[in-house]
Amino acid sequence: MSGLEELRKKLAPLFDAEKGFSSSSTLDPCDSYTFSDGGTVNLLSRSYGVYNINELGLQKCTSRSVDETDHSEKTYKCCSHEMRIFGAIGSGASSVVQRAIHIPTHRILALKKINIFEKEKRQQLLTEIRTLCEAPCYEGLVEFHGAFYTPDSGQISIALEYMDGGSLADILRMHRRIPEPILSSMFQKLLHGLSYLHGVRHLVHRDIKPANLLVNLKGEPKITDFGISAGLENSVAMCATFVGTVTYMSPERIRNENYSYPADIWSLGLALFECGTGEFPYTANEGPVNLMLQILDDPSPSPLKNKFSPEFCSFVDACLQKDPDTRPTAEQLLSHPFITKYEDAKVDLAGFVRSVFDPTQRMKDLADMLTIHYYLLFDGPDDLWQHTRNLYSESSIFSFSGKQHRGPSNIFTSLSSIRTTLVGDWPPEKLVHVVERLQCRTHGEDGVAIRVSGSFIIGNQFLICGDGIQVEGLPNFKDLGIDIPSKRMGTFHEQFIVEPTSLIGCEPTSLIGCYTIVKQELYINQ
Amino acid sequence: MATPVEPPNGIRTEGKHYYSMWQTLFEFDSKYVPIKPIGRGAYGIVCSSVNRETNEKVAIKKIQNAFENRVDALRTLRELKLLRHLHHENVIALKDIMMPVHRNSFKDVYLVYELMDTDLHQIIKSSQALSNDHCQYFLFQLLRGLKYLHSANILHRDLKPGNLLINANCDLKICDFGLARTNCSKNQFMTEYVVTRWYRAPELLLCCDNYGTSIDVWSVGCIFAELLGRKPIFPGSECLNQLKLIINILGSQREEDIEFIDNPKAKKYIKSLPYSPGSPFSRLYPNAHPLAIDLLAKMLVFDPTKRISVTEALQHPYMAPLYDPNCDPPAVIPIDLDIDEDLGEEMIREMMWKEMLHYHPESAMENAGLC
Repeated sequence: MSGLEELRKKLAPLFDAEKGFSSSSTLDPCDSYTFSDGGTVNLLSRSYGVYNINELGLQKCTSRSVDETDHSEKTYKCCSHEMRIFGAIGSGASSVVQRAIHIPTHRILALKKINIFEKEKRQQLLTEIRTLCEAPCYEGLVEFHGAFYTPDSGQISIALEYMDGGSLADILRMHRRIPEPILSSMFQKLLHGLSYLHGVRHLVHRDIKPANLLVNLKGEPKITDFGISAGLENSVAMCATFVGTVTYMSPERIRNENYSYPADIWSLGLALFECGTGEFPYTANEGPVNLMLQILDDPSPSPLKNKFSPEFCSFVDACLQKDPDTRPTAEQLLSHPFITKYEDAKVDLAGFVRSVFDPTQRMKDLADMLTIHYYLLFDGPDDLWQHTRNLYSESSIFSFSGKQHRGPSNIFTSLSSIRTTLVGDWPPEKLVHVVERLQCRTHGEDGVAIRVSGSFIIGNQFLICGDGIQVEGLPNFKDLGIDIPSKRMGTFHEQFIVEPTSLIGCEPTSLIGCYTIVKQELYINQ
Repeated sequence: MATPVEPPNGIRTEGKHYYSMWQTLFEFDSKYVPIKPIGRGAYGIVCSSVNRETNEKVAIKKIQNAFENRVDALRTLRELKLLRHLHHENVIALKDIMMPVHRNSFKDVYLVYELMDTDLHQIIKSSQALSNDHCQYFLFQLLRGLKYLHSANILHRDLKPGNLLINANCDLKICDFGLARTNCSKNQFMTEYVVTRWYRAPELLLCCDNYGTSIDVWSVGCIFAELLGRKPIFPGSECLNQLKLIINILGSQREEDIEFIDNPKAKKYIKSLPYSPGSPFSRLYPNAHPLAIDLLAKMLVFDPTKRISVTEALQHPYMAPLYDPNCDPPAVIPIDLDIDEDLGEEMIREMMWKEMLHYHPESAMENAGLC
């Protein structure tokens, strides 16, 4: 032991223990971006302009890019305090995706949350924000609704169109494979999105795979996550662990050669192969080196000619040419016989999606979210309550106490009066709803009828029993130990009929994902 | 930089107090008073604090939304289960896990570790001069801690400079056991790729089955080389590139040295790489001690069956003057680390709660009473 003791005595301290080790980069959260007081993050990125993101949303200022044709300032109003955030619906390589309702518009969104303090992920975020800002509302691409920064969690959230169907990877897990007519129709729409990305935005997606191809219950397929993996592949983050990955990377990418739009075509071909056959064509469980070597050395995978149509085989074979220069473009693929074959066939995508995903569970989730949303507004602060007005259309009807009220103004006035009554004599506490039972069923094609019953208790916020969807900020009922019968001050029954907001008017697409209460009936027993 | 704040929702919980740091809310047990934030990353946010009951300085890590990502949640749980049993001067000590207010719905986890000043990654990339004595002492502590782990059949699987914590007086402690496994884990499908790529052993890159403690030795060799050269020795951009870098430095391998590769495609690939005579470590690190070069060469051996073991490394002439086998008892407690990879969020939360009870016997008594 004398050798060790001698060494310890000889060692010069590395730094002053009192001052600590002053590393000027990693430990400083302000390194490489501006973090001003008040929680605003200024993301600085050469050639992309400056983006301010804070709790109030995303604002693009002062574009510096030479190829930027539109220099006008763009503001997306999407603030953290205007979000009702529900449970996670998935985890990607660098983000968590949650459902949320945007309170002012009552729109259901998908929130992608990204930890901003990792340099590589910040770059991904910039890439994605740029793509999303410049490509609003194009067929085949998920719609961007804004972004904001939440100081409490230190994350940036990107608000995206909520695709209530899920992803093609989800479908494959349950359905094993997707029929050719469905694939033809879906991939036609996806090719439009990809053609737009390549031909108009000049962007390579770089992470086309079934998990990033989403569908909604209307059967519309859309590409998401563009940019998320843009810088991930060669970043330090990639040196870290990742889970369950298979690679959709093209041969030229694996060889570290220059790659461009054809790399996305390769990935699209692999995705189509997997969706059509139900199997990823390479052996994935012998490690990443083996997988890469298969892609480089083995012949390109090809569907069995006796099991798939010649058009399907031809499409896949064209996409999976090892030579990127011989792969067709997205634009060219739109004319491929596999796509044109079913162009006039009126393929029922919506029917297919609904046959795969349990519409009942989707409806239950929707009912849970909308119910929680409504009562959080009703029992919440006055400034949020004002947004309730646009939950109703001119033809909406609210029934209470034997009277019917029609239209947003009348309904809002009536509900506000009830709300004032419930404030009662216990400030700051008041009578709040405790939802004890919730039932729902379909109403018409897209609507849902919700029947709610519960109690009034004296408290400071709305509560909901049961194991349904949880919302952030609302305590779990079981944790509170409230005995409802002993605290009950009255009971209520309420029925809602909720429909997607009607697409009538100048900007129909701006209402996608929003909901309207078309009929509401309230019964209160004191 | 730590600002006392009002509790969220205006509901103050007995035994807790609240601080804001770097725009993040912390809910601390009352006995912990924050000093300053010291780090943040994907793992969470860390601040130094004082335990007022013992006047001891600690590092508190807040893992925000710990169950949001199932894989990260499993890593956290695995680390907690493991650290409870590990007691060694070269392994980071987990001193406390704060009990959350709501057992069934808590989202954040607060871990209390002994406080260290920095990590080896920071030291290596700084301009701080490191003598042969420093390298020798760092390597010795790393090997001694690793011997303790391997004696309990635990593979760390993610050794890298950032996971080695350092104090001013050069004490070193191994941390981050989120990827650790027992060597005798049942052969479950490896859906995780272990070890940060630059420190990944050839047998892992080539996906050989039945890897063992030798993967950690390879990582130690990479760290040792980085101490000597002050930059990573194999900074591969992806898996195939990683292998090329390794072959370029070690030189092309003889047939008998790649017999361990059981994947024919991978073996063929290794053979297809252009011939390389290799670069002697003495040329890469001209100022290094000759014995250090010799030990490094024995660690960075392509064939894992011919790589030096931790025990042998401690007996190597470069380490032998520091090593006393009598002062290095093995870990005695058998540890069952096998967590079902399919655990759901509720079960993970419940198991994490049970880990917390080990640090709060008084709460365990209350729970027993309730049942």
